Amino acid sequence: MAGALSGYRVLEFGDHPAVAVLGMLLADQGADVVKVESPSGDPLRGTPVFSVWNRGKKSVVAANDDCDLLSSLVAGADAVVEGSHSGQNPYGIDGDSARDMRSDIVRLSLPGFGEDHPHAGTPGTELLISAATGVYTDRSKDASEGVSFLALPYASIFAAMVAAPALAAALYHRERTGEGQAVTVPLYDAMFTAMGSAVVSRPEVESGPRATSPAIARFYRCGDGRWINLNAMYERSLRPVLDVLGHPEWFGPLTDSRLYDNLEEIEEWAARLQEPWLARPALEWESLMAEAGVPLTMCRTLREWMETDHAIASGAVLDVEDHEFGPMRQVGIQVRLSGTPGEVGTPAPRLGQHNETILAEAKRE
Amino acid sequence: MPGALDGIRVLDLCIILAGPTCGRTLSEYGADVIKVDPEHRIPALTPWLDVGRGKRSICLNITKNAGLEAFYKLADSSDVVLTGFRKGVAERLGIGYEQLSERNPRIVYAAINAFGQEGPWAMRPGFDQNAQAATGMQLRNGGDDGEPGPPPYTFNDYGTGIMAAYGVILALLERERTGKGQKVDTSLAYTASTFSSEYMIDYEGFEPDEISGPEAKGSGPFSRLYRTSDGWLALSAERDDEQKRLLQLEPFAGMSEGDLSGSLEAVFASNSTSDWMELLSGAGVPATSHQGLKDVRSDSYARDAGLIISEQHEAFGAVEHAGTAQRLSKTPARVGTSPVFGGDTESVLTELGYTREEIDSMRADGVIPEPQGLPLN
Repeated sequence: MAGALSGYRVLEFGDHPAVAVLGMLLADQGADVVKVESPSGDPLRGTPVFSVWNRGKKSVVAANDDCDLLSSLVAGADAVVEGSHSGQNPYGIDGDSARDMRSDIVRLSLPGFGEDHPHAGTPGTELLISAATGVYTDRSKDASEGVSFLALPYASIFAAMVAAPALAAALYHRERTGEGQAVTVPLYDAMFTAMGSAVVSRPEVESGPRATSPAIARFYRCGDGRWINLNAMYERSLRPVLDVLGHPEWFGPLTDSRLYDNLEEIEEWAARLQEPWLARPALEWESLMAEAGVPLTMCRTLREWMETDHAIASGAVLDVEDHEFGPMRQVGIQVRLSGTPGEVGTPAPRLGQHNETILAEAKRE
Repeated sequence: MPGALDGIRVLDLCIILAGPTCGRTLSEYGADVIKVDPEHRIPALTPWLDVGRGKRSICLNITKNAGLEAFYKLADSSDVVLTGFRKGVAERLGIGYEQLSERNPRIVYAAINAFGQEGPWAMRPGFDQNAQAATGMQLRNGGDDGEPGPPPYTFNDYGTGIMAAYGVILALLERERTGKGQKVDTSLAYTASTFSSEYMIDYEGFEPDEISGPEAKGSGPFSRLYRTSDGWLALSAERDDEQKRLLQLEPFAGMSEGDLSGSLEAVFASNSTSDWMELLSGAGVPATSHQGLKDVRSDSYARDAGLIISEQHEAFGAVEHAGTAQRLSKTPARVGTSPVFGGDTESVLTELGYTREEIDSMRADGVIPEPQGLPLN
């Protein structure tokens, strides 16, 4: 079925994962995303993740001085999205030049650092943005590592997420008024949205009673050596946990607000709580607690998640027939609209696969 | 200047972080967002100052008839309803999508929860940590032998709310064409899957290769963190020409492919981060110093760019919170301030046409619960 963005053409420029992911989020919802590539192609071409982040798009190869092609592309577009590691769009199709060609176009840019940032012009790679914003904080138990790298490209994907509603809002405004605009989401700036509560400060507000004890929202090891994550932060979930564990009498002391401030006692309670979990394997606890309505989940690997009945039945994963890798399992569509659910219509395009059709279209118009 | 969503009214019934982030995001684009809570769900103040921004707050007991009636009146004149229930719970309360859209076919309805509305886990309750547990995030952070752990920031919660806002605005856009609303479904587990999309791949012959554990420093010698004499440096020489320029610099000359990481470690440890930065930026080799949260938030750029905002709040005094990251030239994003819990109940009901007497009697009947003052900590 058609997606909510069907009928909208979006030009995508640049080699940054953030813009590729944004393009995927748009294409999944039906947008006609045309990826404009240099003759050598996107640097991720040939890697499996290219096939994921570029599914459902078209590919047009354009030399950076091919003004005719570029202006005919812009003439047929509703939006231009761009994001390059270098911060420079090799085609010179930045916000201003697109506006010069079309006042009603939406231009969205994903620079690493904003033009007013002292690091403006530094390549906004995932690693540099993350290092500059505290993402690689030491995760080791004894703080011996100094810093800890994260494998998932959180900064790039988070910026793409922040950009998606911004672009949709700009399209909505355009639909109502006919007016285009420039949207900028610097990756560095988007990280402050992810910090969120961590940057809230309230020096004049006194601390009041705590809602929960940290001993009932943490990891416990089970009989098979695997971990569960427990979040029994409400009475309605803590009571059934303690009932199933056979210790209803722990409810009072575990919800005593004084417990929150006594680190030693919290750890004593955590040690006491650890004991009963060793009686069963993690998966068994997960099923038992699911029946009891408790937010408890076995810590799975990503492979295990992909193979769960739930990931498959809920569409968290889906299958694509990829040009390069054949039948391929990929991430599903993140947001589902009941009337216009979107779809992955086509696999990631071959380099320049759509030059002819797009050129023919441009000639007709 | 106008907001892109001016004139759009949103009812936000969500709690914790993900759902309320959706409402806050819509308010940033100009929507009139009314947070609807029962009194037993008093939120914690720190997140309230973050995801409560730009909203009005009312307390309404919708398990009582008069409360549900008032909610229906609100929903009939609203554009969007945001919910964060497990599958089936909203329907039991009488506020499911079908129930509301029958009354108001233009309504856009978002359902935001842990595992989505479809599949065998749709009934399972869960917080962000449960979704991260299910999808491999925590095991990866802990490594092969360590205790699992979350990433440093709450990417997944916020990402879920922001993606729900994306879905809501798409549904509003579609409504311009059809005149009809629809239901938007997203979940914490779907967001975690999107964050994992680089590795969440399978095909014949695929070999998973994921970096994990707190000891990880990067993905290769040219793309990783190095200890210096006084801190940490992130080197990100992804391109051939950048790598070449690095190895042509005097301290690195003659290094071989062999144990490049080890050789670079030894050299970087011998000098200060600022000295390295001077050398590397002069040579056009991408690098930056590692910054902790404290340094980042106290940086003057954060204030100048409106990413950290100091505010004298009428109820909470001097507070600081994040601003907005997205910059829109014609419909700029609004930061907004957080309401007092339940502080707008009377004014919203009055707008709906309720009289003083009716409001008093709703209060007497417990339909308008008394908020118990400030949010919890």
